[in-house]
Amino acid sequence: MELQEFKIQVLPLRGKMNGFAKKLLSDSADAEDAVQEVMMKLWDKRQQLDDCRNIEAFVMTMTRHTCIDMIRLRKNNTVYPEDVQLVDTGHSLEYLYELKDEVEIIRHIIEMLPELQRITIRMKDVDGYENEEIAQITGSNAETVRSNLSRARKKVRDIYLTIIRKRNNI
Amino acid sequence: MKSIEYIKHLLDKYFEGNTSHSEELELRHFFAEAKDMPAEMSVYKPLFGYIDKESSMIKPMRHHHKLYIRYIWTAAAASILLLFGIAGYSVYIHGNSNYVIINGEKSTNVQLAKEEAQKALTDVGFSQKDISKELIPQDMKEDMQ
Repeated sequence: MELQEFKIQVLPLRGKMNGFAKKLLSDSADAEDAVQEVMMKLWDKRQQLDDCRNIEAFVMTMTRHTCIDMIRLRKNNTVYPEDVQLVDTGHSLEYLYELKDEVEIIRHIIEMLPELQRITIRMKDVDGYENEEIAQITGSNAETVRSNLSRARKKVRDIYLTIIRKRNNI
Repeated sequence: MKSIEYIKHLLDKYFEGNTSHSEELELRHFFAEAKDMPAEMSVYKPLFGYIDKESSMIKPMRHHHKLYIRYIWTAAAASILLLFGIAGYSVYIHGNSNYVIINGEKSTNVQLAKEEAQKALTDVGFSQKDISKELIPQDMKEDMQ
């Protein structure tokens, strides 16, 4: 499935996905993040979508799983610190101080990011899409993509700098 | 080599999520190549190193499609040129496309061509006698008589 087909088959489901996510998360900003995340995951799986008999059912199931993951994250946000201040107390980050290779530290930080931020970084930095292209694929706008991207990159930077400073002091 | 000021400007843009893909390539290139840079900048070396490493593994996925289309257009343009080239060349070589060669001479005279063709056909035709001579061995013919 390429972009044209994706726009016809998947993007029109956005409204329904958004309503469903709002019901599960009872927060419209989180719902929008969830839908954005699902759209990027779907784009990633676009080859598989060709063999999918019921695209709508597939999409809605994925939306539900993504929302449930987000709810779990909310309850347990010390593992995935939203705030850099939490880095010092987050137990899961301690092993990063031991890593010698800085590139490996970056890899671990990116892998720990919330899905939405991780996938946005991957699409922009690794796959090389422009913000406008990601906006088209996900049915959002370039400003939303830019803001997600900026949050993600700043978080990687801030966590990384915290780790490096801490490591050098030891 | 890009100026440090310019790279700093790109870095700010990068963290705001405002860089284009080509600007990000410039950043990656800079951090991969540059030997001397201020310490506050060199902390970003691993970040761009990581991105470089990752995209070198995944790159074909993303750019394959665009590249493929570009190659198709190039191929189409090349084939059209080649086609015109061959057509043009053959017109140049042969001029009139209908002609015969009689005794090594090129001719477009229709009447002459027909006569010569008829003559040639008569020459290669076998008579009844010729055929039996060719097909039946001499000793068999003697038996039959």
